[in-house]
Amino acid sequence: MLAYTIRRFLQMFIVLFGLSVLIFVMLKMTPGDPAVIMAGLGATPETIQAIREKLGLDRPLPEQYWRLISGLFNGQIRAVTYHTSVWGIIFERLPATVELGIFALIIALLVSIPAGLLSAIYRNSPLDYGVTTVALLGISTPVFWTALMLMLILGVVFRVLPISGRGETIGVWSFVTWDGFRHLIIPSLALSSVLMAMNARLTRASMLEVMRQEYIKTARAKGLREWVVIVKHAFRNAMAPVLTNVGLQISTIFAGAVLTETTTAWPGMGRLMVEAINRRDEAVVLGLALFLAATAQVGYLIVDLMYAWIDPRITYD
Amino acid sequence: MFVIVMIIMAIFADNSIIALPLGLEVKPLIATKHYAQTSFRNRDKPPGTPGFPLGTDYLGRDLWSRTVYGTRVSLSVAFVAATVSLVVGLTYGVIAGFSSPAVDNIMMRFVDFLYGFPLLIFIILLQAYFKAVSRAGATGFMGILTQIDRAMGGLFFVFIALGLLNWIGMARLARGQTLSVKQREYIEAARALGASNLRIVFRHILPNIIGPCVVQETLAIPGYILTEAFLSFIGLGVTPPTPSWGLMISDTYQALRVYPWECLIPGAALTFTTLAFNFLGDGLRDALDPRLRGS
Repeated sequence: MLAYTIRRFLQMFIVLFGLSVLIFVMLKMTPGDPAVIMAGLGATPETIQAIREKLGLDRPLPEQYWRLISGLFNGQIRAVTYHTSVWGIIFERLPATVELGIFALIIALLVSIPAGLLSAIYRNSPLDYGVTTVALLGISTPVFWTALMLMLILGVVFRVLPISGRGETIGVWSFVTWDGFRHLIIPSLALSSVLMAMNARLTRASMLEVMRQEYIKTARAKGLREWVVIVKHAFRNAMAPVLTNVGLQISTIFAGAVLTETTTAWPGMGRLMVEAINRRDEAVVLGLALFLAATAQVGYLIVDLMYAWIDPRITYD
Repeated sequence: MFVIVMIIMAIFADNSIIALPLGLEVKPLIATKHYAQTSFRNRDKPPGTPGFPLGTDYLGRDLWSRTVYGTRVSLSVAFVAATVSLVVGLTYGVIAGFSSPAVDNIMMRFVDFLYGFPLLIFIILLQAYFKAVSRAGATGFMGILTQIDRAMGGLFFVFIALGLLNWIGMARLARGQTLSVKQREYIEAARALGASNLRIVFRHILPNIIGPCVVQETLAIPGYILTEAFLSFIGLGVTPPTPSWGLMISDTYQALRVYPWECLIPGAALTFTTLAFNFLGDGLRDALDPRLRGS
């Protein structure tokens, strides 16, 4: 187990290293000398040379790479358009996305697990058809469109919720205030729509699979009541893939966050990504990409370890 | 059914498919106007305005025509990305599965390495890079690619970004299938009859593994369409005025309160298309693998 964890950590670093080198090469291959751009029109060759030396652009490539990566960590690399370090801006935006993601996930699990469960128990009933159709719709609808619809219906037609922004915050969190909480509802509902659909489908499929197993037959043969069979024997076994899948949805959550945050003006990391791309702030893009990749990798690792913890039959060697 | 209607719409949006080879003038058929034709006097018209069945956007461009042309973008992304992923993944997977374990191991380690990449972030970065290159005006190889991309309205780089990593899942599936089929008796029989490796792969392995792979690929199509819309929405997809649905939504969502239809129409088109492909994928899976029916 320990050996496996260590090996996975190594693998993770290889992937992150590969990704960062790739991004670095992409930045280097992008035409246009940053020194020339920074010096502006009509700069003398000496000025350009001075900037180049200051930025370390005259150094060999491995050293430049090292400067960039270490600069990201110790705050030396500054976001050109945000007046703070790349690390600073990422951590400034992080809580908003975390808040949004967690709320969306909670809503999604609260709705999708019961829905998937009922749909599997009452298979081929109108309820089942309803759930599967809605879930299919949820998967097919782009998140940003869902967000816009919610804004239109709840914010414009019924005027019950604010349609954009984050509202009041206490510290970095906004859900603790009533105003902030009201602002949180539309983005998190929109984001949860996809997660809801995915998890409901997964719960249903996993539940159907479990209900076919021999031990369910045995439990029924023992004369247990149907709800005991379903809750104690089937549900617990069916939950393992669903819960572990949550870890794999980190990248889905982030992709959804980019869209919901853009449409609802939620100041999180997804919006930061779009902003940074539009402002051509490469340092921020690079920092965000590495940060998100690392988060996703840690998520995958936790999922794999959780598998072994939830289901003792699985061992890693 | 809907998919077929969509394909017809995409092909016959204008008569370019007949007119271009014959050197005739390109005229819209199903679309009533050219997608980039603006009209200052007819800005933001609601649906039902004479001449503009679904209304117009903020530049007075006909929404019906733009939506119809948008089918082309979405469907070409769907089919190109799916074909690339299927062909590359299948080739890679079959070679890995059919080769000696040592080669297989090396090839699959490489896939595992790529598998760790966060796909969406990678696509975003790649697109940001391509956009920067084409803005700066590249020369040499990248210059040629940029030219092609410009001619295709920004679609070419979307194809590359989508195709570059999406074959990985397919390669894994194809390898697994190959490994299991390789053990069957009929392969042994073919070998005993003196069939060459190439013949075994093409006549015995490929036909037996292609079913699940095609189903898998069909189920991945909605993902490609949504990714393209997503990229266009955040400004990293096709180049305006190419009418991608994602771009149409991003152009108009800020005026949602005043002109909601401008954003609702492409959104509805997008939803129906992905829904149709999801149904197609589920249907194909049920037809080819009846055990999974209804799950």
